[in-house]
Amino acid sequence: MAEDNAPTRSLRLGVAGPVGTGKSSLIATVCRALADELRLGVITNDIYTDEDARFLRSAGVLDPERIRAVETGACPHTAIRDDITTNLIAVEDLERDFAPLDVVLIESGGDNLTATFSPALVDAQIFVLDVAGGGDVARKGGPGIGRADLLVVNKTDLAPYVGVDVQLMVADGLAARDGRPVLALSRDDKDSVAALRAWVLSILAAHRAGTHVPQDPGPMAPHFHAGDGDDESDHAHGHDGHDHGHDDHDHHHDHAQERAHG
Amino acid sequence: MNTSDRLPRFQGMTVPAASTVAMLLADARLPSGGHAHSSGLEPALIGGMSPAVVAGFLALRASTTALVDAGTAVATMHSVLDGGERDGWGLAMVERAWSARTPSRAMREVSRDLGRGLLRLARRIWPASAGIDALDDAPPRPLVLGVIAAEVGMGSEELVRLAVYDDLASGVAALLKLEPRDPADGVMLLLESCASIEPSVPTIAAIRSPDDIPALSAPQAEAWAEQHAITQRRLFRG
Ligand SMILES: Nc1nc2c(ncn2[C@@H]2O[C@H](COP(=O)(O)OP(=O)(O)OP(=O)(O)O)[C@@H](O)[C@H]2O)c(=O)[nH]1
Ligand SMILES: [Mg+2]
Repeated sequence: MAEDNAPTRSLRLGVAGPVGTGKSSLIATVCRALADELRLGVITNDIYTDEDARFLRSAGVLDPERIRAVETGACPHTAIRDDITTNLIAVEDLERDFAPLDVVLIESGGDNLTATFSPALVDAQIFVLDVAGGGDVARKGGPGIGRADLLVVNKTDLAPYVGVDVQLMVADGLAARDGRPVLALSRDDKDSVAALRAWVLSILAAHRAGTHVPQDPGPMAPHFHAGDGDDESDHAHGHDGHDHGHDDHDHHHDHAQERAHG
Repeated sequence: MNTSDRLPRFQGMTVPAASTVAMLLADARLPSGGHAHSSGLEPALIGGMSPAVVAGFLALRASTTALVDAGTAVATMHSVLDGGERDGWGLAMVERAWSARTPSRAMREVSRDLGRGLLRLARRIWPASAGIDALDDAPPRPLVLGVIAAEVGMGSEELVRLAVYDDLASGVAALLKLEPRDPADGVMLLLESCASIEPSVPTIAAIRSPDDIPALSAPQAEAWAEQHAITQRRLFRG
C-alpha cells in the first residue's frame, strides 16, 4: 500500500522474527552483499536500548548515519502494526536525507510468532526463524511463517549441534506456506547468502516494475482456510478467505490486550 | 461556525461530533505515535526520581508544562477561528510563544515528534482543512490539537482537558511498564492529576492571544528530559 511513488520512494523491506534468530545479522549480511550496488538504509526497532543500531553501525557494512533506531515504548508489536507512525516517519526522514535510496531495511524488535509488519509500513517482509529455536517451530505456523514474502531458516551451521534436520524444517515451512519461498541460511554459507541476495534483488525488481503487491500476512489469530473469500474486507488479509466468526472475536480481544499491556 | 461544509471527506456520512473527536484524540489506541512516549516519566525515573512520588510528578506536570500546552492549543484554535493571522498573531506567533515557554530543547523535539505523527493522521482525516494545511511538517503537539479543535468546533474547555488528559495518560500508561503496579491505581492517579487543574481550566480556556499563554516551567523535569535525550537505554522517546 505504497502511499506515494515519488522518486525518493525506496523498497521498504521488513525483517521480523522471534528474539535472537539473527535479524540484525541478516541485515548486516544483506548490506555486505549489496552495499556496493544499492543505496541502502536501516531502521531498527530496539526494545530496551539502541543496541541493534549500534551493532549494525559497528559492523561497518554501511555508513553509520544511514542506520537509525526508533523507540517502541516497550511495544515492538504495536510499532510495526497497530501504530506505525514512528517507523513511517523514520523511514521518510531516511529517504529524504539520503535520497534516493533503493532499499530501506526495517528490523522489528524481537517478538513472538504473531508479530508481522503492516503493509502500510513495508512493501515486503522476511520472517526469520533459526534452527536453535527448535526444528518444530516452522510447523507451528502463524502469519509470519505462513505468509511473509520470504521465510528464512537461519543458522543452519548450528543444525548438527542442536539435532535439527534442516531439510525437514524447510519442508515444514514450505508446507505451511502454500509454495511461498523458504531459504535455509547461514552467514558462513556463501551459496545461501547468494540466494538471499538474489531474492532481495528480485523483489526490488518486482517492486520497481509495479508487479509486486504488498501482502498483509494477516491477523494474529489463527486462520481458518474456509476458502469462501466472501467480502470486500477480505482482501486486506491476503489471498485466502477465512472465517470471520469466533476467530475474529479472539483477534480483537488480543488487540485490546496488546494495547493495554503490549 | 458551520463546519460541515469544510469536511468533504465525510460526504455521505454524518460529520463526527466535536466531542467524538475529543475522545478519539484522547484514546491511547490512536495511531499517531503516542505509544512510544512517556510524558517525561521515563526521563524522571532514569533521572533518579523515586516511584513513590509519581502522584506529585503528575500533579506538577499538570500544573506546569501541560497547562502551557493547553493554553497554546487554545491560542492556536482562536488564531484559526478568529482570523488571528490578520491581527498579527498567527500560527507562527503562537508557535514562538510556545517555544519561549518550553525552554528544554529535548522537550520541544519530543513535542514536535508527537505533533508530526498527529498531523500526519489529521491530514488523512481532514484533507481540505485550511487550518491543518497551514501547519508545517513538524509542529508542536498543541498546535496540531488546536487546529483540529478549530476544524471540528470543539469547545475551549474541552480542548484544555483533552490536552492535559492526553499528556498525563501517556505518563500513566508508561508507568505501568516502568514501575508496574495495579492498573486501577494508575487510573486513580490519572483522574486525580487531571482533577488538580480544574480550578485553572476557565482561565486557560479563556486565552485568546499567545501573550496570555502562561509561562510555567518545570526546571527539574526539563533537566531530566535533556539527560534522557542522550541516554542509550530507554523504552520511550521522551
Ligand atoms: N552460528 C550462527 N550464529 C548466528 C548466525 N546469524 C546470527 N548468529 C548469532 O545469533 C545471535 C543473535 O543474532 P542477532 O542478529 O543479534 O539476532 P536478532 O534476531 O537481531 O536478535 P534481537 O534483535 O535481539 O531479536 C548472535 O550471537 C549472532 O552472532 C548464523 O548464521 N550462524
Ligand atoms: Mg537484532
